[in-house]
Amino acid sequence: MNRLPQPLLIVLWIALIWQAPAAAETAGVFATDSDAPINIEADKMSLFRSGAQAELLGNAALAQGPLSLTAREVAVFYGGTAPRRLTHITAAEDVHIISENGREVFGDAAVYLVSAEEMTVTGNVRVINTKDTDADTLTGVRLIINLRNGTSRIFGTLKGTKNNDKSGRQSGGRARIQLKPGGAR
Amino acid sequence: MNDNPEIHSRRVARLKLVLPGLAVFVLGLLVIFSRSGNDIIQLAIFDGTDSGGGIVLREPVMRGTSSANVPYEISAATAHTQDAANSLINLRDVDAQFEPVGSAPGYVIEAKTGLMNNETGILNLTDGVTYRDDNGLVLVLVDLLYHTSDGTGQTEKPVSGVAPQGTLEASGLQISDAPAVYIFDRVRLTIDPKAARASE
Repeated sequence: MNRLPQPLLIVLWIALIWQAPAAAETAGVFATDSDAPINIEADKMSLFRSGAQAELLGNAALAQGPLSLTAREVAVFYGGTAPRRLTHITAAEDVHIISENGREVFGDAAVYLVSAEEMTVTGNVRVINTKDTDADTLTGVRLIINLRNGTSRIFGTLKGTKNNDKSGRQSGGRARIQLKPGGAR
Repeated sequence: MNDNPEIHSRRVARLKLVLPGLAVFVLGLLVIFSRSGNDIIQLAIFDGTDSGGGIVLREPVMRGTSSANVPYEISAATAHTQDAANSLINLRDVDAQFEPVGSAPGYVIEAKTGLMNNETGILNLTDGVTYRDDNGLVLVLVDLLYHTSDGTGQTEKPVSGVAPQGTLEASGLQISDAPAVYIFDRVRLTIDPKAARASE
């Protein structure tokens, strides 16, 4: 098979980078079920007697259908006056989300807006696909998962690497996605 | 005035028996409830004493204020003193209501049976215990040791209940007043997202 000339490869490479949206890229489709019960477990839960907030510490884990999340700390927030209503759930430190279809997310913090059916992961966000080791790993500063249909967007992408690159290094710069020629299977 | 000296004499003789007896009875009541600090006991009906010398009260009501300034009212179907000092009182069908002043939610503790220690202010509830607060939290407990004096409590037995838009299960519970929190051990909170969205 004829190889493309080197200058053309460079032009194509620049074009790929140039055409990448500055704001967001898809981070794949997650398996979700936003109507499934949300189960939250922890070694200890402190529920404020005011009813405004509950903090869960120690092996904190959240599961909803095919999606699960672990973190150092999970907090549940309630709004309004009695009877209170659930508004959102947060997770902090070592956030790890696993979707049954192989998508996994690592991040520093997450917010689950229950009414909007949306989860946002922030910090050093890394998305991998464990069912395709050769797939691209996406890194960014913010990932939004639509829990209604599983679609996702990643913002401020800093670097895309192969799954088998375990370095997880990130470099600064504008939002972009980097694809390696010949990487597609 | 009756001028019959014989009748008068009989009346005096009866009063000599009745008045000291009444005095002993009133003194007994004062001893029982004077130990509960600023608590006030209101007695609806007095049933008398049992064979062991304990006093049985029907529908007693105790009102007081905790150290955190939370007014409370504890009522029961019956109260039965257990010891000579009358500091231990067995309660049946307990209904304890706590109404904090200001924005803090009120709460109610109900139990089929309980033992009130008037000296320590500890209510030891041992059967059919339910804890409810104004925010929609309803807990079913196996037992609960509740300090009426400072508004704290604890159980090391399984807890189940209803939280706003969900349910919860835990292996134990501590109720703390400062900070004002419920601390659940090994907890599992289940939230119904559809109910949460519907409440928006």
